[in-house]
Amino acid sequence: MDQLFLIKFLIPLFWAISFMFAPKNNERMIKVLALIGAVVTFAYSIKMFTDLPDPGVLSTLLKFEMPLFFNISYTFAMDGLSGLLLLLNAFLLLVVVVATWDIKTEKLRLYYFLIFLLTWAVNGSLLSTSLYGFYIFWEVMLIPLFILVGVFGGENRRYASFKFFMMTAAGSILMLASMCYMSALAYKINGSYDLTFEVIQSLNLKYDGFYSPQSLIFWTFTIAFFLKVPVFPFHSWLPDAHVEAPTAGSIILAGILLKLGIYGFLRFVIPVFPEAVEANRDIVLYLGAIGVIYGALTAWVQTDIKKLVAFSSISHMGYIIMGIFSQNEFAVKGAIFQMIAHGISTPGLFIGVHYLYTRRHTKKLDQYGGIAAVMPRFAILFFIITAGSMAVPMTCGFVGEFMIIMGTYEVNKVVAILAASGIILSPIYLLKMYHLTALGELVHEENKKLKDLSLLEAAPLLVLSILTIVLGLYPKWVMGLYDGTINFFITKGL
Amino acid sequence: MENLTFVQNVLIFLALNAVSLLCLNVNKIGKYCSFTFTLIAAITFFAMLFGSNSFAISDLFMLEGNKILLLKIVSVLNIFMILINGYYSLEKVKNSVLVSYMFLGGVFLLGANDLMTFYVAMETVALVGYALVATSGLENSREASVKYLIQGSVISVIFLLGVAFYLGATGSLTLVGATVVNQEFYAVALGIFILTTCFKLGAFPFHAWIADVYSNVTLGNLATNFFISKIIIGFKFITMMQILLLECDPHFQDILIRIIQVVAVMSAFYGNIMALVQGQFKRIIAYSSVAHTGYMLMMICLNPDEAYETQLISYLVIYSLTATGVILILNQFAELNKNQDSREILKGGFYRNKGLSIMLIVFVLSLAGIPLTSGFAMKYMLFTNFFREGFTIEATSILISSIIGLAYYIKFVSDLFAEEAEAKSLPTIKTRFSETLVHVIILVSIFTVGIAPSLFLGMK
Repeated sequence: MDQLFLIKFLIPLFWAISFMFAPKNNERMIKVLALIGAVVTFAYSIKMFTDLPDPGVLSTLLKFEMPLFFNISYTFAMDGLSGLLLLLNAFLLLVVVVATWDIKTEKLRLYYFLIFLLTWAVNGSLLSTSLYGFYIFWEVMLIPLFILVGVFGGENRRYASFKFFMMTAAGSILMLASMCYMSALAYKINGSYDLTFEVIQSLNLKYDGFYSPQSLIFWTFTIAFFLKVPVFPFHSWLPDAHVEAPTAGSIILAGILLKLGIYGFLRFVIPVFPEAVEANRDIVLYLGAIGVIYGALTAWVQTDIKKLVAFSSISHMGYIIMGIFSQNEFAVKGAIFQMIAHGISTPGLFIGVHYLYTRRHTKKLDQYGGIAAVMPRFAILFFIITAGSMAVPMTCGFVGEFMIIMGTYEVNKVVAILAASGIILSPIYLLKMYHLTALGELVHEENKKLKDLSLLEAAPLLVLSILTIVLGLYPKWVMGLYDGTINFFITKGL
Repeated sequence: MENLTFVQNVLIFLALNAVSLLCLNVNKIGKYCSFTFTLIAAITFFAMLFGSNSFAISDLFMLEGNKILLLKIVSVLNIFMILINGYYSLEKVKNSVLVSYMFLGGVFLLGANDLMTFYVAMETVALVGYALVATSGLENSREASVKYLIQGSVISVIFLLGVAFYLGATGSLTLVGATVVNQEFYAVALGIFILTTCFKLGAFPFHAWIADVYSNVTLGNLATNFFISKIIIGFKFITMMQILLLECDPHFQDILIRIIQVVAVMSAFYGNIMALVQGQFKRIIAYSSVAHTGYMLMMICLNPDEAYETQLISYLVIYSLTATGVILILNQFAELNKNQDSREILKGGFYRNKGLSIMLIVFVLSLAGIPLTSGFAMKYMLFTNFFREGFTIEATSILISSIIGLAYYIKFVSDLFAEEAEAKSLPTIKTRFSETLVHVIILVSIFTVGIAPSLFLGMK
């Protein structure tokens, strides 16, 4: 057990609080403070990951009794999967701080406070092995994102933030209902309200049809996670949230928050409700496949770049859902890889949109065209990221999607074939996006004066581009980190 | 000896409040005297309770265990309300005097062991309630008060009919240990008591008075109502019904519990839906209280138990405290906007007073049941109990209704961050020390209960 774990874990929270005491008018100091905080968070995340004795096993980082909180015990633990997502979370924090360095707002302290608070809450969710902890952090992370979108977002930010909050919180309440039910049951059996994996498994919830306890609990959790991922038809909040959110919100949302829904499935649904997963697998697989096609087709017809990227996210998340529910080792591995790949490419796309928007103040595709001529640095980096998102071979996006489709094919051929159409559709809408922004003639006069990316601006896109290619060429580098955990997610685990 | 002290203290309390009442309309000095006497009366009463474990006056009145605990809490809250009212303005001292009488009625209601004592105490609380509404000074206050009085009187008469049936069924008016000889009469009596409970707590479909009354009282009076009447009436009616249901024939018991569950679920849905579509925040609070009544009513279905009683007290106190916090902050916003009763006045509030807005955010998030706040601990405790007792469908339905509740609570937060540019041109909202102190106390209690709920809830 790491004695210093609690301090490390609380760093983002302390950093968030420190912004309250930063001098209001010293913008530079606040930004530097944020950068240092992001670097420290990233550094300790790497350290925590490298200190992990065996990524294939959940290693307890801290365990303590909470006699005052319903007398439960609380465990923070980490394995290859949670460690990888923890790293991604810290990495994206750094990316957010650098990519939005040019942000101009009077509420800079509030802005960074919310971002660091969000990072902390995500870390809390990832490291909690008790359902309580997971739920608490899961709910806590709604608040900073709600305020981030509601305060720093676009014109319709109030509507978007409200819709996001309501839809995800509705899912949480369903999850709470199941938690209360299981707690009551756990108390009868064990005399304790604790809800760790072991306890949930020991409840032996019966499965004998839709109305059996295991099935109903499975569906409450599934709807909660579907709303978070989001999976078609629970997706309607995402395009609104992405379009209205500030860039930081979009990056964190697409990069890590959506993955928490998937993580929830892997950690709390698949290992503990095996019969229900098996019985409802095809329904979820079809929903995933519909999401792939629906997201892609809707992205195709968008005229707003951010909305296009948002719908592409729905399509990509459809693949991941398929991958984890196919319960095929190859596909599950691919799905986890795709989580990381999507966490690299989509934030990259949002950063690209941010740079365009800060120069032209529009997200309309028809207002661009030919900007490769004036912004070559941007055009190259944006192309690599776009290629990663459209799953071009030798980029990170290809590996995950290929593995998912191959793995799913063994389980459900129709779903796999349907999903494969997404491979054709994604280049259509992403190339359309790239073509309409970077290629062709410089039609609009305003675009002729656009400045290319500065080195600071190019840095996050460059790092993401390098990762897109490196992970595409050598996926084993990442896969090796979570290989050992796979059995947990395709069998009863533990 | 203790019992004698109790009677003496009640007499002192009454005497001091009577003097206070006499001083009220003299002049400014009279108002100061009135405030002082009321405060002394409240403090003396609290001092008497401190360190005492039980009081009894024959079989008609008995205070012990959790009732004493609740009384101590309400006494402290009563002192707070007197201080706040006095600090706001001397004109509000009359509220404190009225509230003192309501408090005394509440004391007797809480200790009532017999239906006649219960009835008299209930009417005392209700009468002060009518007076509080009537003296609010708003345009339709008197009309609302009359409506409330008429509806309340009808219910009182119906309650008396229930008392008659109870007497017929048991041959006695005592609430504890009566032997039921006629189960049909007993069931009818309990049915009428349930109806009274629903009316007094404002459950659907007996909630009609709530919206009218809430929207026609000042926010200060509304806060008072939450502090005193909601807590005591809620506790007494719920625990009384729990005990009375135990003696009921299983067949009738089953029917009555079903009725309570249906009313509870419908109240939760109706209250939350209606609150969502309101534009006036007093009405939002009114309908949200209808929804919370739904949660409370479900507690009647639990078997009487010491631990459940402690949890009920915690729930009532924390809910009332948080709701009062919200009302007091809304009052501060309203005062700067000619007492306008509209959600509009919250717009841009964050840019006019950050501290106050953050408090309001925490309070409404607690009411919405977000983790790490007392609201979550209460919600979790309540629903786990319901599931434990096998009320799965009812508990799930009420939880689903709370999704709607989230919507109007979060709208408050959303409003606070709206219209930044306009808000900056408006004057900042200044807070008085007493208000800040009360808010901080509520804030601390929200987080304390949220982080360490077992200290207060006694989860068994």
